[in-house]
Amino acid sequence: MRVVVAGAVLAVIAFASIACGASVAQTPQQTVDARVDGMKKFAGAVKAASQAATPEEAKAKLADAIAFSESIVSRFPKGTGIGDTDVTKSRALQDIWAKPAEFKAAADAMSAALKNIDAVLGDKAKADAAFAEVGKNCGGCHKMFRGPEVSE
Amino acid sequence: MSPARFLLVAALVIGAAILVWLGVPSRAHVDIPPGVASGAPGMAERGAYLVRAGGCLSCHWDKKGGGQPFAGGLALTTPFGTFHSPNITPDSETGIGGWSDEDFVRALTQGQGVHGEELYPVFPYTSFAAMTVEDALAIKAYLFTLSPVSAPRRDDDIAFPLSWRALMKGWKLLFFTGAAPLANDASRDATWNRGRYLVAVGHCGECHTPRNFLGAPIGSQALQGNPKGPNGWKVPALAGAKAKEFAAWSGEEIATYLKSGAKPDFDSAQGPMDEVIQDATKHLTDDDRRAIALYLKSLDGQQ
Repeated sequence: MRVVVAGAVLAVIAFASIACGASVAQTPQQTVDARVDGMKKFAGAVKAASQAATPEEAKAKLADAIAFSESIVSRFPKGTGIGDTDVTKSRALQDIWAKPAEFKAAADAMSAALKNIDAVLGDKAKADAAFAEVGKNCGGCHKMFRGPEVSE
Repeated sequence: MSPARFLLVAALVIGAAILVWLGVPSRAHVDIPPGVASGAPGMAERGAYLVRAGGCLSCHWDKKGGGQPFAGGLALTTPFGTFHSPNITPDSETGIGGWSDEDFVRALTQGQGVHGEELYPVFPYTSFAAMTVEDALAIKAYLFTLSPVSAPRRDDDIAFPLSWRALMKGWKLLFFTGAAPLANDASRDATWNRGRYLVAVGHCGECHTPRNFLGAPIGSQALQGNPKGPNGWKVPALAGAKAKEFAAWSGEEIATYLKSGAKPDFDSAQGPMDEVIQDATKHLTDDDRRAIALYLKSLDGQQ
């Protein structure tokens, strides 16, 4: 009996903490802010990888970048774009949600380009070329899915 | 005559004089040096390059609307209304096929059309005024090698009173000092001078220099950024105290950006600057891109 009660109490606590977790989930603006910050760190990781002194160091930075790139689609929940209420600073175009397949393809292309670098890290010439491809993939998403930078 | 009556008459006389002045077209004088002509050998080849450097295609091509290069038709939205770029292919009916060398130089460097009408400064003649006559005519020579495209002018949508072109005479009086080909600064080397010339005729300042309420670039703040640029884009400063971000770019990074659009932070050019790179700067020589970079670096005092 005690065990059952204890179990029930634990279950309630667990449920409550999940529910609380949900209730303190990010607001749309927090999602945008975290996304912008993440993108900056992402670009920083790629740059650090391209300038790393050793292939090992480059590999570590690259792993961070790949992990982020695979999270890109999940960082764009509906309601966090230009024109959405509760969001003041976003450059995400609504096309992201109008053309989800194209958006995912562009994000996947970024992950693929990063993994291509990983495969040629030992060879400087090949790695430089692969890093340049990553730069193009920034534009792959930004040209289609990012709106103008405007004055605040 | 009472003083009040005198003032009224004086105001009417002055007003009438201004109206007459605005109403009578007066063609600006164009000085073409002897021996310089668009028909001279080699001019068209030279012009093909200058058309890139001058960024003509970004406006004179309705790429997204399926138009032909240089046939115009692109809608340019400004705070003063919507303008449509004209056809600059050598079609005699709808393009510039009937234009003389003088007509072309006058339009490019003095802002007057073939009938002596004032052009709106949405056409960056205020920047092209820095161009040499030889370069202007080389551009004409190249444009005249193109196949003529029949593309009638699309009407502009400008609110009164600016829809009255003659008012641009007054605008010019305030903000335009006439054709003034950029002379070399003897205290600087050839690369710097080349860079300055390319930045001028490439009309970088049309977007990167802030404008006053009458749409004129503010000369004292040249290239210091424009909070309200084309299509609402915030255009970054390339010079002055606000150019902190740009000042961190090396000359080589600037040159690379102008070639491929790749930024030092791994992002790439978007929006209007992406068009500039695709239509203009990526077609320039490495030396010219470096010259632009060197000149721009000299503006932030970090040369």
